Amino acid sequence: MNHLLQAVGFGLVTSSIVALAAVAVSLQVSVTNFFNFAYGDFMSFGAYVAWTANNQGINFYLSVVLGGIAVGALGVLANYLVFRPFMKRGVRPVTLLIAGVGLSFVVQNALILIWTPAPRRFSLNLGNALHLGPFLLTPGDLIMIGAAATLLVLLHVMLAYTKFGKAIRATSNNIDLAQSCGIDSDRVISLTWFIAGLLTAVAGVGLVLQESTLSPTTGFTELFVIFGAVILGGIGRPYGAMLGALIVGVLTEVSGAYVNGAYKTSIAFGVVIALLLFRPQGLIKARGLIS
Amino acid sequence: MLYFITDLLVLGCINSIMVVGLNLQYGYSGLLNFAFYIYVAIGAYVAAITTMGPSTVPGISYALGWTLPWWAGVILGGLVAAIFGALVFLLTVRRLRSDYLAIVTVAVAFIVWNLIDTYQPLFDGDTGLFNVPQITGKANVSTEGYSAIILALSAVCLALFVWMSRRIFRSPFGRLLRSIREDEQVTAAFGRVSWKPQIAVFGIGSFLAGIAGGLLIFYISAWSPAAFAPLESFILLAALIVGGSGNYWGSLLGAFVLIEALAEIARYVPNFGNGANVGALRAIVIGLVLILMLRYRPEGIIPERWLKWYRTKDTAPAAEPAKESAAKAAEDPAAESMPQSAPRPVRPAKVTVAARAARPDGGNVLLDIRDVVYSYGGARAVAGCSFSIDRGTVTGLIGPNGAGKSTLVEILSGRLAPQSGEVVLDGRSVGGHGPAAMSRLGVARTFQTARLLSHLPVIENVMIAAPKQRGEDPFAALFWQRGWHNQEVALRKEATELLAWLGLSSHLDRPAGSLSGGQRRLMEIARALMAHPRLLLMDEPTAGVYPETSQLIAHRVREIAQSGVTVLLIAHNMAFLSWVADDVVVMAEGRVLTRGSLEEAREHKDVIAAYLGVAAGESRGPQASSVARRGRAAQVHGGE
Amino acid sequence: MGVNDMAILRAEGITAGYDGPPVLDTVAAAAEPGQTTVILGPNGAGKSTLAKAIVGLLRIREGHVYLGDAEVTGLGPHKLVRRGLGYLPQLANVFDDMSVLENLEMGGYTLKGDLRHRIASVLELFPDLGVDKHKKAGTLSGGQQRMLALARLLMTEPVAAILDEPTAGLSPLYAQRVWDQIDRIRGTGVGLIVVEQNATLAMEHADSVCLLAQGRNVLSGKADELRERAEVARILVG
Repeated sequence: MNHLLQAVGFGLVTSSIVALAAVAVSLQVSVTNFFNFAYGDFMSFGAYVAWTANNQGINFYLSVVLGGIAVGALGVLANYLVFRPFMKRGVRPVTLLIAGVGLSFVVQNALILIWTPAPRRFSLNLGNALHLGPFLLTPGDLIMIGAAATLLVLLHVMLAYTKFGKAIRATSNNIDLAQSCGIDSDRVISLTWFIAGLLTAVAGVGLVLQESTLSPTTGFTELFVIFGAVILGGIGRPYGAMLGALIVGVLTEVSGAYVNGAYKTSIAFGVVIALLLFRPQGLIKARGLIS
Repeated sequence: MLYFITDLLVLGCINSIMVVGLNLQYGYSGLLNFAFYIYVAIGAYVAAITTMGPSTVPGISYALGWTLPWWAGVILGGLVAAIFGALVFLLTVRRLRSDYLAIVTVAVAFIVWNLIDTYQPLFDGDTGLFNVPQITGKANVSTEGYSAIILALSAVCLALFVWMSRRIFRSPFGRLLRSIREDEQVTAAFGRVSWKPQIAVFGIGSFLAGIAGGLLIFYISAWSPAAFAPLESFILLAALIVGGSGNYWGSLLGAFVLIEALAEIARYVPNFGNGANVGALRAIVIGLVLILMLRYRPEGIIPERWLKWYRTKDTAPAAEPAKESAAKAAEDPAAESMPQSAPRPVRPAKVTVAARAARPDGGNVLLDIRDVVYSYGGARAVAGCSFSIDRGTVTGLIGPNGAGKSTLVEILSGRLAPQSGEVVLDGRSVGGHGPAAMSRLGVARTFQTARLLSHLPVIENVMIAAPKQRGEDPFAALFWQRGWHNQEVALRKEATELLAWLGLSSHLDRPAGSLSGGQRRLMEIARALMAHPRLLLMDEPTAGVYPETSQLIAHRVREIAQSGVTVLLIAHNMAFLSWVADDVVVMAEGRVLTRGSLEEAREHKDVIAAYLGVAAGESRGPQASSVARRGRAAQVHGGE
Repeated sequence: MGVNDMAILRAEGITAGYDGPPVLDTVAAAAEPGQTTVILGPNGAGKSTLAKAIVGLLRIREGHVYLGDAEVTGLGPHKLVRRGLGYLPQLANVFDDMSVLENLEMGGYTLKGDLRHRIASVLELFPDLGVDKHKKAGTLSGGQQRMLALARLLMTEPVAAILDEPTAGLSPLYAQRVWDQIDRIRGTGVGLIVVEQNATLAMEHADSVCLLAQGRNVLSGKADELRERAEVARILVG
């Protein structure tokens, strides 16, 4: 039992990271209606920028913020240069996915060129693991969970209470009607990419801290776990994505406690696929995205 | 130097086989398989473990360890890959949108990869297999010689698979795949189920992947999980799209240029920075080329439409006399080539329905609708609708907006199932049968907004509707051309004649998307007739159409009815209805209000009230508003 | 029907359509401040097309649209709303995932400052909606949703508005209620163009009538005069 609870504890850490990324993806999908395949590489990029800044001596937390701004800007640029021209023309969703594949090639390999494949580490010593009740967590883990929770709460506040957040929800609910209300959907979409980028970078850094090294494929290998959480939670439903991330994260770690750890991601995927076969619209019904 | 070229060609051929296989899945059928390389890996592994014999090195373990001859291993590899592909397809089929489905296939691939990488007894885990014996067995062959042998083998396989691709493309099976790819619902409306042809092509594509894997492992003698990073699948996809998706020559071009040539060029780029850089640069180039291609030339360098699978001149009918009204003909492009009237029936003898219409079961009544009800959520669109239609008649279905006419047509075509009540077609109860089944029972339709396969030629759009095409079966398409070739020629002839009868003979090979609004309607009629229906449902066949084309359509519809086909059409244009309909059924609020001639309907007090709407606080009844009363009075007294 | 100088919203010589022949052929329609002009016609006459053309959702091949003195031809709804022209689309006219209150807030998106006062004034006209402001719009009945859509439109105090079949799919009771609201809106001085299918009800509330058939104006004039004309019925049946 102790073993199980410990695994749940680890699962919470994984969930925090996945939740940030999944919510960011869900938010972006809710206004633009397609998956950005280069997403994992955006995460890596954010982590690299943060690492570079930190390496230059800048405070860790400030470095993360810089990483966030960098990914936000990258997202806005990617939308403007790559995705928006396709969307204006009205193409099949598959085309956007493949365009994302192309973008992923570019970003991931640009990372190789700029930072080389040599693994990087954050020089950060946050102390050893502590026993907190049944859980075994490092201060770094706690900070991660805390940061994720804080950011998600802030996001919720923005979506639920601010004018701009409501504009995002309106745009994702009914883009034509939102335009009729005077909402500039292009601006809303751009800013959504930026906000999603901020969350992504934090998730990227968290991922690096959890795996302890950063390489150009770090984010990409996590991509399908994130997509799995998003699809499970209901595509385009940020709150659903949080739930999906929780399930995927805890499931991964718990299964790793009982079965050969190398299989834990596969088991998580397997469960996600099985769940989807029974409930293709996700846990919280996805909007109009089923064939 | 020779070895260098041979090596290049071997890899080019093997990569080509992979891209040709992916082309069958994605290019022909629109099925995005992000995990394609897994099938290559499976083929490689199976070929190895069935031919290597048991492991002789301690610490290396793998399953089976048979000693079959190399060719059996390769073929087995292909078969296992094909079966696995079919299973994955069945697992994930049609629950999610196509792009999300693609993502799920990667998850499946990851699970397989994870298993292979971790579970040692299967394929020796992450170490992989090596020292796979050459296909020449114990014979002492030089490296160059061996390469040449593998090259010959690969080239032969490639030629075979290109031939297969060509066969499929030119067959009804290929046409069916294209049609499903472009618009699955329309294809279903003409009686086709999607998953069977799709699973066949998915399996065949995976088979090719497996063969490529087998050839590859015999060439390089080793394989490990590191070799099939997800990247490989995407490079193949990029090659396919850049080369030309749907066109097998494009697949070759993509494989040789994007994969091989770029890799070779990369060798000559001076190595800057550390070793990974040149590869990274190559990948960046591939990514950029992919995005730019998708944006500016999505059909690829060698597009699908360059492939010709027939020549129009083989089957063009003799020129027919064209009587045109000069002035108005200039307005409408369709008017140029259409005969204003058909003096001697230019219509093909194939507007027949002989076999089906002759069944006497239902007597004179073809269609009987009894108390059909359908609600959307809380709203009753059809609220107890009953009427019947006689064989060989043209019945107009009219009524104000929201009367339930379109919903009723959806029910009759099988798209919706009646929630209560019965639909009886020729004595047989058919409520709740899907569109495919209804199509096979002889119900064809045209759509309110014309639905075409815009990228495909007009004649192909029409031919897809013909029932019972023997060439649609994949095995027949590939191996038994004799069984369907004659039928195909006959169908082509019939389609050509139908299109000529509707004034579209100069548009046979043009993409359907290039037709004007009126021409599209005409094409839809040709397509519906190709299915040899006994009941033709038409939803606003003259909306957005020039008056001359409207007259032509009316004329043709009457001729269609004369040949025994029963027609039910929704229309609002009273002039058109007066030309074409024997009588009309008036629907309002989901029910039949009255039935009779068009003139009677227009003067009927309830009909007028229905069109005018209800005043405040009034129930719908015989005494409607003052406007209606005046209108009726005026009509009784012969106008104002 | 000449140019109406008093009109707050004017469409002149509109020729527009999709592929093929134009759906609308030199159509004109206008609304004066504090007056309701209804657009009637049989199926396929082009009524909805006219509404979409006026708000710029459809490309106009020829013709002009004026709001007051300014030409607004082809501007989309998001620009028109800032100029004071409201638009009520036929379908999907509320944010079903958002609450009543939030729907109104979105209606007032282009307004500056605190919206509470404005929302309160609007809700006075729609007391039913104010009962549960936090209810999700998707859970409201069809009629209530329509009311919400109207309320949302009023948030910016438009000088003119186009309503596309506001009573479509509603029970006779709610249809009447919607028209009562429209009358009230008219009473505040807004100029309204209302496209409608239910001619009887519409003509009871209209000031002017504009009858379309096959994309052309066939009859226009004061509702009082046209109410008694027999040919209206004939044209509407088709």
